[in-house]
Amino acid sequence: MNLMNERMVRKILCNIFDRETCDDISIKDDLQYIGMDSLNCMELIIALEENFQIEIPEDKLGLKFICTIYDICKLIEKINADK
Amino acid sequence: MYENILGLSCVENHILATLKKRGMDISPLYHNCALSLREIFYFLVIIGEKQEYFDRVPRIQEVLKKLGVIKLVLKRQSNIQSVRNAIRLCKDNEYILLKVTPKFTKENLFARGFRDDHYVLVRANSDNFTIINDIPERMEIVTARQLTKAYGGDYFKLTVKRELTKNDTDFLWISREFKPDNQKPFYYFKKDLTDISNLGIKLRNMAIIYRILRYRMAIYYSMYVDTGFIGEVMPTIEKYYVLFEYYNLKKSVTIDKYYSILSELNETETKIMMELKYRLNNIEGLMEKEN
Repeated sequence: MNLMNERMVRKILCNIFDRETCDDISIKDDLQYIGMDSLNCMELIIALEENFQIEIPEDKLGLKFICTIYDICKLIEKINADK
Repeated sequence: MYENILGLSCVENHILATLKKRGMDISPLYHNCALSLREIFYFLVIIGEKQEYFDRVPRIQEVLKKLGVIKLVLKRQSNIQSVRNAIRLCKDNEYILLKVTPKFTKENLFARGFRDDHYVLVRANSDNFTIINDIPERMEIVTARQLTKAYGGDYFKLTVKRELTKNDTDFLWISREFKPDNQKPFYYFKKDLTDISNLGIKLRNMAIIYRILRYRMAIYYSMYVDTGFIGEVMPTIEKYYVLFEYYNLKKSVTIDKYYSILSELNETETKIMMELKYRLNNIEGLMEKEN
């Protein structure tokens, strides 16, 4: 997994959840446990698109596709690889 | 405890989850689920009611109170010691739904807290207290001091007086305010969306209520007919809900895009309502029950 991407994702999560750090979240932790719901999942998606200069396909918009840091990073890698 | 619980508020969630945990089938309580997309659109988009204050569907706790299944009393109590005593003195069929502060809601429960009045289930736990939040589902053990800091000024005392009976289920069927039989196909025009401020947010709010009511519909009417066809379209409805929020956040979205999603959602709505109406009309005995 790309560490730079992971770092950026953690930074975005800190902004969305108003946290000083997200280093305590393991890559396979379910983000719903820290308050991720369908609504801030969309905030996350918009932030990912802006920061990574990608467009997340409509069929991948939703909590079940990005419920862990690992899922998010894998999705970014896949989108970049498909470009 | 809260998985598959379909409340429209935290209080509804706690009451539904509590009754389910006590072994009750809560499906009949979703009896007013067939509120049409058209009406939800009217209240949330045209009128601009906030989704967290939406009260077109009577609250389940009011239904239960009228049936005599529960007693629910709001107590405004500034003396925290009295509150702690009330929690400790709860019998097996009694529960306290405690209002917590917005700060506690956000920082300890990681809950969104759309409203200032957020309630949690509280139980005594030796010298401490167990707090249970609905969404996200979360259990926290707090000390008396922490409870004092979290307390938002009032609480509900919930008493479960009896089980739901078949008579209740029949009564709920007959007393439905919204019925698929009354639904007719309805079509939107693009001009329905013009000159509406914060259109994206309002459509998203509409979708939040709509999806809960359609999940309820799949459960409630499964007591009478096969509602697998509703379950099959729920992923589609989820998709539209997500798209409304996505485009709401994108900001640079035209009315055309919203209209396109709304039209597709409306097509789905028409199909499921007409199919449900057809299936219900073909069940002998259901109409007799109503008459």
